[in-house]
Amino acid sequence: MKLFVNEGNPQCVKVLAALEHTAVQCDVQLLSQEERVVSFLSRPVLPAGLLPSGQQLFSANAICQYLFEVGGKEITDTSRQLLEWEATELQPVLLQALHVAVLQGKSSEAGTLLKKPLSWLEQCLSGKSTQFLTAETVEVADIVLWAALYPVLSDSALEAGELRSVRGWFERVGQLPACTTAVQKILPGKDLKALKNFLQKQPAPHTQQKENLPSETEGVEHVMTAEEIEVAAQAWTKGLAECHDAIERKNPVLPEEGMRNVLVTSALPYVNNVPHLGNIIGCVLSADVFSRYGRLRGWNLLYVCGTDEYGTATENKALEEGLTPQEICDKYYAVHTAIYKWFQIDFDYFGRTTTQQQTEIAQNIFFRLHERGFLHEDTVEQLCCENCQRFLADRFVEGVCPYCKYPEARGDQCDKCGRLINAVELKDPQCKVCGQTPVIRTSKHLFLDLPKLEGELEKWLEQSLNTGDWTANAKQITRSWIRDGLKPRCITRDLKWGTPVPLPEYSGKVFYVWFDAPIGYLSITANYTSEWEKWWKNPQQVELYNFMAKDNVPFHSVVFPCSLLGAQDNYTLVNHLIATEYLNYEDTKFSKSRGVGVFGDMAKDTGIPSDVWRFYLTYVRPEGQDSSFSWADLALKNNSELLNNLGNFINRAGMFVSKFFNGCVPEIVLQDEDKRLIAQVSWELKQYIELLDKVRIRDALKCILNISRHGNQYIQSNEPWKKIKGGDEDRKRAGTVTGVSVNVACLLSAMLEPYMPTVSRTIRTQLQAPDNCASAMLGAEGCFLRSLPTGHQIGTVSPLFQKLESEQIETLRKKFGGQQGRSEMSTTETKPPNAAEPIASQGKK
Amino acid sequence: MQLFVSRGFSSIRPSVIRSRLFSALARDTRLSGLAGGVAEPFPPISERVLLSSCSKMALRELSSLEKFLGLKKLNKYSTQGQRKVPVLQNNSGPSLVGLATISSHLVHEAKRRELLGDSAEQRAVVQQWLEYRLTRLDNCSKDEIKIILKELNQYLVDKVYLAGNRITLADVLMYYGIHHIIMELAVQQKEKYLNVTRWFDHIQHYPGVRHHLPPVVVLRNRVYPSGHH
Repeated sequence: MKLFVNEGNPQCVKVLAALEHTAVQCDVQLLSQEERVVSFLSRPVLPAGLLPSGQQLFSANAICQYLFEVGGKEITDTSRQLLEWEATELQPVLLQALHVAVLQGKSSEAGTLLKKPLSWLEQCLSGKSTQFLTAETVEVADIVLWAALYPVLSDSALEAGELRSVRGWFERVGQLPACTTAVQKILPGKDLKALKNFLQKQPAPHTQQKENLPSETEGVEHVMTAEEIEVAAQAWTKGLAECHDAIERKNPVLPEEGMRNVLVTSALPYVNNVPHLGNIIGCVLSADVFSRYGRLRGWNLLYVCGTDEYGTATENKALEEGLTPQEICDKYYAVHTAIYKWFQIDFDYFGRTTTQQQTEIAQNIFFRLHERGFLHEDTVEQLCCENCQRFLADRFVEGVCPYCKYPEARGDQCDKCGRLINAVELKDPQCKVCGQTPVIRTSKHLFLDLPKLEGELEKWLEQSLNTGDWTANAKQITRSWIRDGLKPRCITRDLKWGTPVPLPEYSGKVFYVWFDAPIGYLSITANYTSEWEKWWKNPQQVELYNFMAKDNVPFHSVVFPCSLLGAQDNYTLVNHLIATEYLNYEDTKFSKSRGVGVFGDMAKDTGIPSDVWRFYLTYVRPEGQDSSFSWADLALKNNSELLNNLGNFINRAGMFVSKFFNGCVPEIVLQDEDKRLIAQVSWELKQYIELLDKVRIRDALKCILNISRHGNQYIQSNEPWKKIKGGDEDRKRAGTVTGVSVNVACLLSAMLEPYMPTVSRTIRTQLQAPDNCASAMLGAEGCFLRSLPTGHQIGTVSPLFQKLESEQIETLRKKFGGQQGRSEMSTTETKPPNAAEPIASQGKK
Repeated sequence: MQLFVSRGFSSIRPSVIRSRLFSALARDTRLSGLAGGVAEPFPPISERVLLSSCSKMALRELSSLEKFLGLKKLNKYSTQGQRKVPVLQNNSGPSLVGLATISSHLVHEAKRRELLGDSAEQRAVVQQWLEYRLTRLDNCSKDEIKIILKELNQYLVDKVYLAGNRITLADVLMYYGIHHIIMELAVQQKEKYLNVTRWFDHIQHYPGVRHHLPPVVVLRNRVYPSGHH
């Protein structure tokens, strides 16, 4: 048998103690937490045991049981029962308690959580006459339970009650040499901190209740009261008020007194490559849906973004393509602009970071930090390539990760284990340009003194986290950074392509992109309007939303706010930080270098309309957890949701008006059934608004689909196409059903606008809907109104969506599945300036 | 046996098919010597009504298991706690708590110890999958379901049973626990999790296992071409 264990994992204490105790012959190998031993599990799980037969064990309890059996002990019912109790009852509570105690520092809360299982164990032990849990000798249950409880019972900070029998038993077991050895090997730090790394990698225990928002909008039928139905029907009958004007777009948009002034940014895409679908949904598209929604809600909203153009990646790309960095930026800026235009991303301004404004604002912030003593100088050991005659910053060097041994770790971060690396720590470093081994030289650099700013940062964070809508992952990442303690961060680099450091002794050095890039939000706004300070130095009036993928969170929640706080210039700081998880491609990662996935410029060539892309990407938006893009699913959702559900309903409603009533909305006499539909639709609309106000983009989309589902059922059960051929009463009934349906369709056009702008516009044209209907229905708390009155003339109705055939999808899946005609693929690995971008990174860097 | 080769498991290596055939053979020979192993086609109506009630699920499982094991004397059960953990009241000793514990006990009682695995290795594998069933599968979220199906599917690529080359308690309890999930799968998903479906179909047709659960129809020919990822 072979055992694989890792440090800091209490489950591994179990198996090592059992191994020592039973003295079974076995190889033990210490691995890092990320290593995968059990091939069929989706997460790396340790400890793992490899049995002589080749079978793999991934449960610590099963491994312990095996060791005891091989050691000649039989497993009794009582032992089995305790093991089952440990796995099903104790572990969930224990994990949660450790999570609370170690990661959130709330020891007392952890103690409360553990009360119940511990007192059960106390009862169990106090009723026994034996020394140990099941016998006079130590058996498997003793080892397993002792190791599981070790982290909490050995920590004096955790108050868990008196527990006389438990403590006595715990000490007796702990005295075994097997147990002390196991603890020394696995939990060398001895206190709870040794577990930190392990716990951070565990999925968060899901016992806390979710926010009050409806998490599952589908499948849950809302039960309505008679009163609710009557209120909704009355509000609907009133129709559009005169006072609602359609919203005009101003240029430039500036904050106004008495309005909700919302500033939206999406992470600046890195200029050196073509964005893939994950980048698009993670940043620009999410922010676009929210911005369009905000404008419909009548907020005074500005949405800016642009390409991030400085840094080593650009220099690398320039070397690779034989162009100057500026030429690379110009080329890819155009590529980005075209892609976002095709995706109908409605920026108020899409700029770039290589501008004069950027230099001025970045240097101004730098000087202010310098004057206030928030910068200090230090010499840094750096890798220098003697062949190329330069310091190898960040991505100019590659080597073996000192932590996880990944062979292609970059100079600043390892893509495999995600740890930040100091380039000099890399093993076997290589210059990415010429492939030579660099030498270590020293160079002077400036550091942003984050520890000095920590107090102020925490004060601000507490307020922002409590009042704003931060996504759970953003909160968690930020908290873990603060908990780990802030360290000074180097903000200068030995490079040419960047914003110059404006100090004479630093000539030839530039700002590090992560100091520089977020300032791009400010400089891009400054290029949009000379009055940019009204947005960026106005926290009293402005609410700032930052959209990004989760890898960008610390720079937006810790590093950049520290720069702005330190500059002491009344800057607007982020109020709502919206981070997505990752979007995978058909269960693997997007990778440009391997030709896997759909990239922004190819979406157009698929023949699938931009609106359908927008719909599907928001439908699978990685909100709360990773999600994946799948061609089969795209076709399924297009055919079932868009074509058969949404499109079908809107088309039928319109067709009935044109075919049966000459294009004129008929008279409506509401019956109970109609009122019930109106109330149902109103309720879904309120959900939609509640969700989108909290930036739950994916969930809100489901409300739209629910409405058309209700609509289809309503048409189906009333059969207006039959009633129109009947008597007078029946014909009137057909008129009412048609009139209500076409009004629901009109509401849908408004709700669709953020997601599918072209479809929304098409519906409004087909129905000749009044311009102000969207803002009227989506303003305030949202209200379903009769916006197409009796006698309203509609336009020509035609189908909105097309079926995606399975052959077509299969062709696309093959085309984008990898090796997109890249025959030189295998050679790119050895070519020195490797273009491989971080495949795990979907934000910016 | 025809059943196995005619299903179009195109992605399976010949050696695997051989081992499947072998174990199917082994199963059949064992069966012939097995008394009272004939399944009743459907449980009586009065029993089926209880199915919908979630808290009774574990108890229904245990009573089906008793029948599968051919136990004559039926035990008395109750449940405890929020999670409705089953409890076996025992006249001769302390009561037993927990589905895996009680099931293992019943297996001993029925003198069918081979169902817990025929070696220390297999016994550990059986316990591991019982634990997986209780800690991962029971009360799992919608998203977790996908992960579980993926993991099982991967595990079952070259296996007929969860542990070793014969049916064990792990197969039976996993089958009971996963039934409601497989019921809900669309044809396309069943094909995506081809190995799970194949295993499931095999277990549900294993004499005497199904009892309280309705059969799930599994198509033998693929409807969706190359649906595996």
